[in-house]
Amino acid sequence: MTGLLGVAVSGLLGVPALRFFSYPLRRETVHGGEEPIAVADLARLPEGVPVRAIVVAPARYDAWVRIDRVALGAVWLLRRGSTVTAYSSVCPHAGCFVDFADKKNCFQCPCHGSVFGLDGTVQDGPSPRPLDTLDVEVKDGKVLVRYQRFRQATSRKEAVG
Amino acid sequence: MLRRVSDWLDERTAYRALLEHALAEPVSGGARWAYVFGSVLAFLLGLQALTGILLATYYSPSTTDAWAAVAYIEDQVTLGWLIRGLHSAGASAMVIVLGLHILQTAIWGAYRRPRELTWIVGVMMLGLVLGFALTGYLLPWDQKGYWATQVATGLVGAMPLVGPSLQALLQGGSGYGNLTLTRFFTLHVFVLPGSLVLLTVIHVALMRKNGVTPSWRLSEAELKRRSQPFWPEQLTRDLVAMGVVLGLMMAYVMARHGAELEAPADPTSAYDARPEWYFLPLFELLKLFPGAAEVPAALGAPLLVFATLLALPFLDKKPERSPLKRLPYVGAVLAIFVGAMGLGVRASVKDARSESYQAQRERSHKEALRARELAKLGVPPVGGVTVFENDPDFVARKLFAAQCAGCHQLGGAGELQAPALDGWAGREYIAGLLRNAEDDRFFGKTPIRGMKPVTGTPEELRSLVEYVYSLGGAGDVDAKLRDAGVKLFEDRDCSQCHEVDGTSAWLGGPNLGGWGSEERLREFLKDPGDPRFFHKKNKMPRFGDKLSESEIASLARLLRGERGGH
Repeated sequence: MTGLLGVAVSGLLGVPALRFFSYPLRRETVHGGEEPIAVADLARLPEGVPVRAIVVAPARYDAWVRIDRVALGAVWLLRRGSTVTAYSSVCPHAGCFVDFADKKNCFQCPCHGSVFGLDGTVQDGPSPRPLDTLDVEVKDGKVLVRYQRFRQATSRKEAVG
Repeated sequence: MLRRVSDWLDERTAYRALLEHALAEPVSGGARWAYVFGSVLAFLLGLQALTGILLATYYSPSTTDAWAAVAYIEDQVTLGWLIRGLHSAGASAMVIVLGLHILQTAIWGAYRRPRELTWIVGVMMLGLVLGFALTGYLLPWDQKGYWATQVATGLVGAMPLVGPSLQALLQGGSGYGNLTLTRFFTLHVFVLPGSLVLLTVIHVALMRKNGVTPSWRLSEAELKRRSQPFWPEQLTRDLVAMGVVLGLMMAYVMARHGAELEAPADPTSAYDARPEWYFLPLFELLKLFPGAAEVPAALGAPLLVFATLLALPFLDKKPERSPLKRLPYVGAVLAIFVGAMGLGVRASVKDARSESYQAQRERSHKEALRARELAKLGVPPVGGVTVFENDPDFVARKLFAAQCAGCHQLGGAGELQAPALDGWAGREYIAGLLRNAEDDRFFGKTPIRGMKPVTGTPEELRSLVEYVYSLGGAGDVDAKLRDAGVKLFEDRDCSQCHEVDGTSAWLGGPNLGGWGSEERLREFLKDPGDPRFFHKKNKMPRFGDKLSESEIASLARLLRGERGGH
């Protein structure tokens, strides 16, 4: 009798308590900007020269807050003919910002010296994989990028978040 | 296996002896339902700790985040309404059970030798519990908490000498802000719980040392004979009582679907605040002592109550245990209870009878529901009342103020350079337009000229109005009137200047097909100079170039709302 009461009371409280606490396991609490986002006009991209563009999410949700127009990150856009490649500016090695060295015509990471060709392949340095490409589509003359982040320091490209 | 683990533990902690000691504690005179209140309070304290810790995993004590976080808990997190509801109901339950506990121990004479310290510590705990309620009320940063707590901190500030400094310390500055919330939060989740747990340990240890205060009806010998160990008789009663209290709380919280959350705190609004029910007596007392007597009464009355309770052990020293032999003292405690309840009831009855107060409650309840609904779209980073900016109507009104009010009036604001838009496309509006389109309220200040005032019997005018009104697809059209209007539209030569097919061009007046509908209004806003509309006479800007599709849609929705109907 006493034990049964104890179990009933703990169950009555314990189950809701666990459900409440584990809500973030069932629901994305930080989200927004996963959809393809327009970052540039196709007509303005020069042929064969990488151009930096900022990916701005129309709205980002962080638990109860909605922040409009949040910069998610930067991408390098490279146009060849009518196709565009988008590289994440996050270095696959340790997450530093990869810059374009126009004199050498390659991408360089300032932190640990990884060097990438215009095709994204590793030419020098510690990076375990090529620059990460992002999904791109061209619609009504606009370049749309689906921004993602990837796990660092692994040879396989694996999206996180 | 379990046996080996427990042996291992026992060898190192001797927990079995401890448990044995706790469970075997003799209850003088035997187990009684009257003794359950203390255990139920301990249970409620645990429940408040559990629900409080859970709430803290989602709460953020800042003026921009607090309300939004609580709305998030209440409306989005799984069972958030239940956890917050239990925390809120738990506070009320604690006050009720604490009242019963004090009554029981006072009637039994538990404050007397050798239990004076148990009683004094208990009275201090009562103060802490009320402190919890006071600090917790503000944390959601909603209208109710914000305004009710202003009264409390204002009273602190009115204390002689130290008042202003104490108030500034408490609220972290001269007014309410982020530091008020961080300080109240700190008090509520660190200082008060720490103090209460410490006092609880002392209170329970003292109780264990001196035992329960036995019934006055039994002789010493009888008490000894009937004595029972704490387990199982008393413990079972305690657990049943806890189960009943929890069950009642659950039922209450489920019936109300959580605790109340008002609209975000708005320092600019007029709000007639009420404290939580257990502070209503004090609230009512303040009204009995207006003017200069208010502050002394507000501070003096609680002081007097606490002083009476604390002095009790030192005043009532007679050896008799029966409450009837200790009438003045038991009477004083009862008087406090009856007085407080009387004041509380008086306040509630007055509020229930006050139409203006009930109307305000109704308004603020509606506003709260709207704010919470809008919060589901995500609260802007500024927080609080900016949640109302999620309302499409709000966006449209802001757009109107920025883009349209330079020429058009709506809702008492704007210039009169072009038609005023209050009641736009409603029957009244159309009737006015037909009577004199060149009135300043309509096209008087614009280059659009040439429409002859429509004359005729009131019946004829009504028919024409009904027909024009029907063109926008309104759902509440009087078909008979409209059909008469169709004929008049021809007979009075309206159709000479106005097409009604929605596609043909200006004939000296705009095409009226779909006029008054959201769809046609969106088209019009994009390009008022379209040949179907005002054509070459148009002076209004083309908003198709200036505003986005969704902005134009929200403006059209706003104006369509002016017409009313379906």
